[in-house]
Order: sequence, then structure tokens, then C-alpha cells
Amino acid sequence: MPVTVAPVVVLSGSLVAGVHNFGPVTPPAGVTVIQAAIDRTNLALLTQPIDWSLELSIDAGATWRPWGGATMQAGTITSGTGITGTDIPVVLTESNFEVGIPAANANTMLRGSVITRETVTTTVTVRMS
Amino acid sequence: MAVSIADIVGNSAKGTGVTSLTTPAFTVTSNANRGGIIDIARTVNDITGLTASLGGVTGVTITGTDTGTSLSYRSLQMSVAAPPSGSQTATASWTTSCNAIINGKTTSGVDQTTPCNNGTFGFHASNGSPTLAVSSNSGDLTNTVECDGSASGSNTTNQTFDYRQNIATGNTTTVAGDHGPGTAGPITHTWTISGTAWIMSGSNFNQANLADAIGSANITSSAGRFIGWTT
Repeated sequence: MPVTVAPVVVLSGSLVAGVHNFGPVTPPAGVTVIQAAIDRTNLALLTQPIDWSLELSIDAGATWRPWGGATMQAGTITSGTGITGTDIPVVLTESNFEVGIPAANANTMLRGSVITRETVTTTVTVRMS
Repeated sequence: MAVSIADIVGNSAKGTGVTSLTTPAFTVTSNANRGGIIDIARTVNDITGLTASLGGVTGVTITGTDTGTSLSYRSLQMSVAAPPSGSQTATASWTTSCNAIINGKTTSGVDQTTPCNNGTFGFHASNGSPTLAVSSNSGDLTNTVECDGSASGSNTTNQTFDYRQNIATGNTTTVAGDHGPGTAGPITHTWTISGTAWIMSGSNFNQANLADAIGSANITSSAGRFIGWTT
């Protein structure tokens, strides 16, 4: 049964060009899915891609492994038209990526980073279930 | 030298509004004659700028697996020859922002010149019955990836289930992958899905030939692990 966990805002505000680290976050016991989302609300006039990624530790931070990542375009992007081409595209308000983790325990930790190439005002949220 | 079923390992990632994805790390066997397949399914049928790699080794689209513009979603498989052993990730990137699900899978006992062959694809706009027959010799290993428009699919396969991921908002998508029995084919992969429209890509891990196998030992390996894969 999925675990219910409140989303965690790990970064918020104005992010200048560069690498922005967040975490570590300790998922509650039993969590098996992690989603990292970036709010697109203020990205309409921007042009540079944004990369973000996660790392996972299962030994209370002693060692870390790459645990997923993604790149998103800036600007305004829309959804597609569905598998049969009949959906009406809508403007996307966030980009996200999602990965599974081994069921979390007391030794499970997550951390991550966001790479921006221009100043971006946004919120990065980690959702766990 | 048969393709190893015991050495199969992999991981997947999904994203909304992205132009690349990287999977979590997974531990690739150190046994000889390693090969990999990267499944890529996206909610647009434009593959401008599409590239992929596993363990830093560039993937090559397996001829015949690309569903093209059959429907508005698109899937294909890429082969990776001799991925490095140890902790590795699979990555794919493209130009057009979309929802996407990728999966990297590796094993051993794979031909080092032609790791994958017999690519094929199928699709249907409404019959909800994904099925593909993939050619295979005894000791090879067939693999398929199925993609449909359901939001929370509970897709099952008549072959050995590997993973399933779904995106439940916006352009809803369920993507699932499997592998066959390693026996002589053609091997028919049939999925039971919640959606009606579907696309499907399939191919065959080509077993290592005798020249590749001489001097190697496919000793007992750890059981296939699917850390983070939805079962």
C-alpha cells in the first residue's frame, strides 16, 4: 500500500546560474517512489535548459549512487495530443521525473541538485509515496 | 553460449515535460559478453535529436523496432554493445519536450558484434490487444516494450514481466517491458492492458557465438534484480 507523505519543498526562490544542491531528505519508512518536480510558472520568458538529478544512499549517507535525472526546456511547453492524437494540448505547469527506490528505512537518504544556466525563479518539490 | 536470464538487471525512469531522462543506477554483471537494450517510449512521435547511452556506451536503434508515426506516441529499442560492468545508468535525450519513460536492461552471453536483431513493431488505435512475434533461436532472448494510453495500467504479459511505469496526468501513458523464455521462436509476446490504443516494440538479444564464448565462463550470477521497477 502506498505511503502518504506531504510534499517537501527542497528549493525555492531565485536560483542564479549554477549548481543548486538540496537535501538530504529522509523518506519515511516504506516509501518506494520519489518524484522531483520543478514549477514552470515563471519560466515562460526563459530560454536555457534546466537539469536536475537525485542521489540515493541506503547506508545513512556513507555512500551515494546516482538515482535518476532529467532535463527540461525553459519557455512555455504544452502536453501532446494523446496516443490517438485526440487530446487538446494544455500548458504544462511543472516538469518532473519519477523513479523507484528500495523500500525506505531509517538508513535511506536522498539528495539532489538543480543546474540552471540563467537566473530562474521557481520551486523544486520532492514528492514521496 | 546462451544469453543469460540470471544476469538480467535494469532500471527505469519516467518524466513529464522533459527532454532527457536518466535511470537510477543498477549493477551490471561482470560476466562476459555483456549487452544492453534501452527501451524508449514518448508521448510524441517526433524523434528529433534522439540519442541514448548505457554506462556511457552509445545506443544504436535496433532496426525494425521503431513504431514511427503509426500513432501519436512512439517507442523504439536501442542496443548497447559491451556495456561496462558495475554501477551504471541509462540515459536518453531528445529535442521535443514530452512525457517519456525509459528503461535500461543488461545481461551477459550476448553477441558482441550484433547484440540485438530481429526488431519488429506493432500498433493499433483501438483493439487493446498488444501482441508481437519476435524471431529467436534457442539460447537467444526476446524482449518487448508495450506503450498504451491508460493512466494506471496493470499491464501483464504472457512472458516474464520486467517492469511497468505509468503517467497518470496529462497525456496518460503506461509502459511495460518483458523478456521471453530463451527458446527457439518466433516467441509471441502478448500483453493484457487497460487501454485500447497501443504501440509495441520488440527485438532479440542475439546469443554470443562460440568464438566470443571460448575462454569465458558464465559462472553463477546473482539473480536478476529490478530495484525500483514496478511489479
